[in-house]
Amino acid sequence: MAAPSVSCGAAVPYRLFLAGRVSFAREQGLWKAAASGLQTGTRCQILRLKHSPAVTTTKNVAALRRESYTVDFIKKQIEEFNIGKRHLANMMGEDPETFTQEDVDRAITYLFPSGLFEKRARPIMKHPEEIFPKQRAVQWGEDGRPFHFLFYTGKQSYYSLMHEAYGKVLHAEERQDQLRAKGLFSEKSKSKDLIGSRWLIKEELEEMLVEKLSDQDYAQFIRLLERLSALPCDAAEEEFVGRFRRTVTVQSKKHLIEPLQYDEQGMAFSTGQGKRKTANAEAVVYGHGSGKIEINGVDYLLYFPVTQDREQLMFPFHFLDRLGKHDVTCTVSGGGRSSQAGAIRLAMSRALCSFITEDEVEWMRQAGLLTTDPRVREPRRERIYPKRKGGAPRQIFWGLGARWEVERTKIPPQGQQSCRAEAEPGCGRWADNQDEELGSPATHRPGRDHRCYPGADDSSVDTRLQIRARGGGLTCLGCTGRLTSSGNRHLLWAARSLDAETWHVSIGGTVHFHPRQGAGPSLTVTASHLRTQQAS
Amino acid sequence: MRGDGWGEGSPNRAFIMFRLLQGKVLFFTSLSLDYFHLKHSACAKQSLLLEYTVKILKLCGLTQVRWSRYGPEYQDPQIDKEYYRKPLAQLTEEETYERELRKTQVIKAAPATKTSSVFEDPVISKFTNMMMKGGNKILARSLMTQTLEAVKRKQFEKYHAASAEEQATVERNPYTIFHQALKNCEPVIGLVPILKGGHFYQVPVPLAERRRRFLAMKWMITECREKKPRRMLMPEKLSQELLEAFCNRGPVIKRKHDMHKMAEANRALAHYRWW
Repeated sequence: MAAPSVSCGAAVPYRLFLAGRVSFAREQGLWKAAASGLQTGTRCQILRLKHSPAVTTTKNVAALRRESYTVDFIKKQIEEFNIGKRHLANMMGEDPETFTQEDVDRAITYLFPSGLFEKRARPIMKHPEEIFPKQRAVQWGEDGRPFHFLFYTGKQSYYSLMHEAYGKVLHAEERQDQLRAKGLFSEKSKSKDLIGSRWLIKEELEEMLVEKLSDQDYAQFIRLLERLSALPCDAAEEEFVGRFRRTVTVQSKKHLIEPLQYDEQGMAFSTGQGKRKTANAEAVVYGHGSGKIEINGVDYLLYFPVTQDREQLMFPFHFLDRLGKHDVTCTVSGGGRSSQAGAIRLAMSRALCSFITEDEVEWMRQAGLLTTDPRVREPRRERIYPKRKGGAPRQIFWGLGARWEVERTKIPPQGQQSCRAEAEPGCGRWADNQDEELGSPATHRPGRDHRCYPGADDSSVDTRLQIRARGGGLTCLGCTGRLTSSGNRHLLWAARSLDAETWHVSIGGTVHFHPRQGAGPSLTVTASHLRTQQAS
Repeated sequence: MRGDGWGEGSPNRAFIMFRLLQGKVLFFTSLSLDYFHLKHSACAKQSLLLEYTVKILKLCGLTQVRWSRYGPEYQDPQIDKEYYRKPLAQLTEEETYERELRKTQVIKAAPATKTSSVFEDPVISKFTNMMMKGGNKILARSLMTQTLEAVKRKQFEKYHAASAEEQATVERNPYTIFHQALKNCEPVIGLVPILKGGHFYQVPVPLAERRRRFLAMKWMITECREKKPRRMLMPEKLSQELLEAFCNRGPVIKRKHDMHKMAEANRALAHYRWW
């Protein structure tokens, strides 16, 4: 409960005051009735904790029904949490004294494994302060008079904070005038750590004050603090300003630079991985060489006939003045020519980090060589306008909008054939294209009734996995009932998530996903499941 | 989905730019994708964010123009090698402050068209992009190199044909010719249609630097595309136009002068401008 601390005594924080009042009331014997739970007595109702009236723009019914938590309830939860943490430490065989929150999280994920997609729906065990939202205690006494003198401003914490800060500004200016009068004032600029820290953002300030602020309020407050920090301050004022600053991490520290490895000949080398759109690359940079770059066993001049791609390969070396000093061997798959070049560039830059100084790593980072490019192809949207005017267009998303869910249904097993990669029009591959040529003969031909069932060797397992696409309004079949080549992209995503290697489409509009050799069951998607509700 | 760029270091936010319907004011706002976690998976966040944004913004009268996968805190990369090689002792106070500040900022990835190569020219890159049709950068870039080669050849022919005194005046570097030609084509003042009293008036308006550069390039390209003889190829025509513009003559220069004359003629309407 980060309440503003009492420094000048100008503003008395309501919480401490309330605590004082509570203890006072307890002595009077009035609190006991309220502490035992929700009371219906009129006098006790005033002492019951209420949450502050939140200004909501949307009707969130769940939020309006928020429960109010008493101080004792929270205290009890904290005690239970601490005891539970110790029990958990004993269960995991660790020392209860040094059991940190990260250990708790790890233990919970171990004991309660959950496959839920939504991370916030998984079981957690955190300090009650983080779980129960901060609420404001009741701000007026039995007689209905508010405790704080700024209560009727509506934002008492904010205004009391402003009042306090302004008091300090006046104080500092007075001191400055006195120093000037004495002639002791020197115009030296203060060396503050302006870069290593930043002001609180609006959300953080709101959380600190447990009050809603407007943008103007926040800007006003920051301006006042900047004015205060520009004046010569003493220790108390520095500490006051320091409460509203947060440290900013130096970005380069987040990189982990791998140490150099050495092969049998004693040559130093380093590996790096890179990604760009759907291309994945892995590069091995050797310490000594003549600037040769080999990609998938092919020289870079042959692999990238376009100048722009070769310039991208050259970029990290030229930037570090190491052209012609390193040999590179890399493998790349996926994507197009430009994204493959970008992926290799990133992989090479990461591998080069092991050969250079920390300053140079920071330069590379500032030149944009060490960041994964997050730009991906935007999902295509179609708008279908309703027949009558006045309605919003319905939007249909292709590709990235779908969320695939796997359901198990019990179906009697039928004949099973082993599935292998098929080569057919409509067959999708994103693995290394150079291994198998398309058009190689298959062990069986897919027919209209061809189904791949998982675990059909074992007759006890007779489930068929069916895939539904939900949410996002995905329509991949459209009106024609056939999968078009532009609609294959969502299949790519689905197959990736199902860890299937290839898929193929049979005549009836059924899609079969084939796993990697020995990886798992293969899956079938039928046409009706692919057609989904459209996004409204 | 997992493999599509939501890896470590990727920003989990979309950064959206708007503009008012009538004016050209740009607003920036960022909406966090975390708000949309409840119903949709990671891959749907992107598209749904757009949906929600459109709905919210329609209420404000703003139309969404562009959005970016980078959040607003991401800074543009500094690719110039010499910037980093400068010794610390020679830096001014502002530069040291800036250096320290950049250490705490997250930087975007360098685009595929930018390198630290000495042969790279931002003006040439911009011109190439403007010449490009249908995303065919390979063709646009080859046309550009052929144009520069043609300019160089013509100038060398002229050089060898000229006498000793004139040889000093012949400019043979195609890059200087290109830059000078475009600079000669830049208009100083432009015309903007302003609605007043139900009529659109062409009001003279000072142009920003980038607008001038854009107009010069645009005029050059349109001129070459439209007024080209049928069998002539683009590099030949473009080199011809560039050389003429370098000498301050030719159709593009004439267009610039026409624009200036119209602005001069509509001088009386200048007070319609309010910015």
